[in-house]
Amino acid sequence: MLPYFLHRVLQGAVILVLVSFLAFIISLAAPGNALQTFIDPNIPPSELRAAEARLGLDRPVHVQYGSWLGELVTGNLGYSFRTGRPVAELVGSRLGPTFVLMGTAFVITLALAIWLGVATAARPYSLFDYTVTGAAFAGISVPSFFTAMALIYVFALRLGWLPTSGLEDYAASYSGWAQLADRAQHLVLPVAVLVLTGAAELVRHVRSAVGEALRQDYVRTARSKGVSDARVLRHHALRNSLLPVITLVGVALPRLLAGAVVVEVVFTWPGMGRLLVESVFARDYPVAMAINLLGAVLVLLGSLLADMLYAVADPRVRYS
Amino acid sequence: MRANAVKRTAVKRTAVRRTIAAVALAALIAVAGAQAEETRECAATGGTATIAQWSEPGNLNPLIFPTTYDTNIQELVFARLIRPTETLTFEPDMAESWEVSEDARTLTFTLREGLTWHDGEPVTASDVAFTFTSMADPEYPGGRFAEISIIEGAQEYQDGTAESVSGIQVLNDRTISFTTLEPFAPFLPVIGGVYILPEHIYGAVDIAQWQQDETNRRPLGSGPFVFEQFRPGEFIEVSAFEDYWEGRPCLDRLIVRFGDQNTMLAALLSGELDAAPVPIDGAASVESNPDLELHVVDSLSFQYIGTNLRNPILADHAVREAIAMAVNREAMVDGLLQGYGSTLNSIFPTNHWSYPDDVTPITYDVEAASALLEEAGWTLDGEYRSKDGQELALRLFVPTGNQVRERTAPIIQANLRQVGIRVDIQTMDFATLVTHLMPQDAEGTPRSVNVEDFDLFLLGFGIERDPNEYLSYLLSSDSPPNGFNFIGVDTPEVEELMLEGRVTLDQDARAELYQEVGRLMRENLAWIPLYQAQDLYGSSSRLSGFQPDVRGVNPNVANWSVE
Repeated sequence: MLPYFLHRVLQGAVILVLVSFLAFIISLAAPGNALQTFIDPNIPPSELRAAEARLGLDRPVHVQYGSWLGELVTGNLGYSFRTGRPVAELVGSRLGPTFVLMGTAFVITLALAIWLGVATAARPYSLFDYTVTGAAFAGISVPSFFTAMALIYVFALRLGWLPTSGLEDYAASYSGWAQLADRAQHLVLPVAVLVLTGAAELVRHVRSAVGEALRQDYVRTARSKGVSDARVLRHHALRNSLLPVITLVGVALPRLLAGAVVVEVVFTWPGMGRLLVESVFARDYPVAMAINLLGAVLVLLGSLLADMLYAVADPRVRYS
Repeated sequence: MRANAVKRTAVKRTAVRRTIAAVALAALIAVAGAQAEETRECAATGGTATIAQWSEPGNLNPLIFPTTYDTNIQELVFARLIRPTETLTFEPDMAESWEVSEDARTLTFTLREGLTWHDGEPVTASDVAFTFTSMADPEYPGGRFAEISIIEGAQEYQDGTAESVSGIQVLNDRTISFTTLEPFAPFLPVIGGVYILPEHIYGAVDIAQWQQDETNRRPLGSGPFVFEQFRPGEFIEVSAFEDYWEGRPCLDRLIVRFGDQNTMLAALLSGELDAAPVPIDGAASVESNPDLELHVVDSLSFQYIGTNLRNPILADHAVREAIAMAVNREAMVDGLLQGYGSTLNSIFPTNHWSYPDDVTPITYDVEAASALLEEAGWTLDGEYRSKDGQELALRLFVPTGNQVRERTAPIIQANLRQVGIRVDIQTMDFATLVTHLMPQDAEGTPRSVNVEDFDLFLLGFGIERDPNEYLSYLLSSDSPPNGFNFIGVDTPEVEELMLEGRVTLDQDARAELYQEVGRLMRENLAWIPLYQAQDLYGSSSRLSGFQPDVRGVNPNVANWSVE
């Protein structure tokens, strides 16, 4: 296993360099730079050009990339062009809130999707199955910002049960349990939106995977041996249908920290997705590159994790 | 007996003298106290107000490339020598008075007594000198040197041939004078736009690192509020400055949240915010809410269609006039702005003294517009016109970021189709539009504009402090790469008037000069003015004293109170 692991790590490093180079080229290919995101009559073009030079934006692309990579190797992610804030600090401050939002949504999505997927696979073509599948289609088709706005309208404006946006009540200075409760309240709606869209997608995969497993010969054997339906599901079918689910989990890991832009913007959640989009509009290359890099690392880690889990879950899989 | 009387008299005289001294001292203390701090009438003292703005500030150091979202916060934490009134004249802020010299080239300011920074250190004229000198520092990265380049010695200091800026003189702890190269009419607005930095804090940081340094995120000034925290992507918190010269603000804390306009509207409607800007679509919900009040405020900015005068089609005045007359601007105001705004007929905002009230209005007349085009040789060939085999087709570049402006594009396209002009709308983000208006060659070197770069575009402009801000837009020598005249205006009369306006100090004479510019630009129609939108704000009944106006959302902020 170890040689395989090392091989993957080395491969990963090469991929990271390639990906970051591509991302850099593409970012700089977009028209305009950080000094062209505004027109201020008090700041003449000569000042803007001087500022560009100070940021190194007048150098050829490959020189700028080399400089970025060189700094990265020494552990320096650079400074935001827009605010001067150290990128590591900026991106770091978004990790927590993103992980809380995406992590909570992920766990609930997984639980909900597996439960419903198994339940509908066990009762195929029943009213329950049609209802859930119908709801799933709706969840996939309705854009998340619409779902978000609708939930805000109903639960925050009309009923007043939940807050509209933000991480917590900024004016109040809660601490301890009160702060936890306040933050939990603010988490409900954004997570609900993510779960509704995410579970909708996942439940159909689970349903088809479990359904497929239930049609296998070993299930028929178990049933004919007198094993109860429940045990058949749990003990035999579910385990074997988990393989596709593991793939999806592997893919979900990068999403955990990449965030969900629409949800973050609508709920003004200080997440990674919103930061990435804002930095792209502001042509803030250091920030965009750092987030890109983080995403790439997570994709590689996620796929490695998924492959490891396969080896655990499926005795047929061997790595050398 | 005699001896006793003398002694008693002597004692009495000493006592009297002591009493007089004590009373005088008390009076002096009272007077000094009154000078250092005025008291403020508050409807209620204490509490926290939460307001919102639509974008996060980038830099909190006021000398680094400030945008409105930055200055909204900087206004709370910093103070200036003078500040604008509602009519955009200037009133004393940290300076209690100022004098203009005989030759009109020197302004001398006297600071109030007893001013302190948020950390307790006294504010002195050296801090003022430090702030302005920093803007001329060769290593200064903030981009605002051009604003103060008119000060004597500033260019030399910037070039490194002088040790200091000769035109900035600290006369004593409370007095500072500025001398300009020539009498410069907009100098007072320039001074009114610079927030003063404490030398002992900002001077300790290498100026080349001002943007990266912590002070750009943890500002310290002498304004009504003390900076507390900045949570990126979420909010900024400030607290009342106890020793503010105008009296401690009524509020204890003020929280400024940033977020998408619709989300902030929802937060306002649900009671989570005390005040927020309101998008036009949200005006009805705010008005129908009994706990909220809608404030409609005039602004000094307007939207226009810009033209590329290098394009032979647009170089023809008849075509520009036809476009202006074919666009239904009233429909935009009624439909898109829902009445919260007005059309305008020149390039200055209607509510400013530079706007010529007697300017000829641009009439909406589709037939007259068609006639103009016909006369100019553009004959109808199917749906669109053509001349000498060339179709009358123009690209319209529309920057995103202003939803109302984006929605005007299809209206303009439909309106112009009626007179036979084909408009191709291209929407792009702001930075992309800038690369068309101020283009660069393949190596990235700025170059001059050519016919291919753009045809028509939508943009906003206006007055921040003084009409001299339009100068670079109207000088023929300031076409890119030198300045902002991307349209390519080349009207010697207008240039002369703009240059004269810079040095004319008499306000009435100055107004007349800019108004004439306004009339000429109306005739010229290189800029086709569309409308001036009003700004809408909503505030909750919990918040009193909220009075936004042309200056923005913060006027009267020190008097805001919550119940």
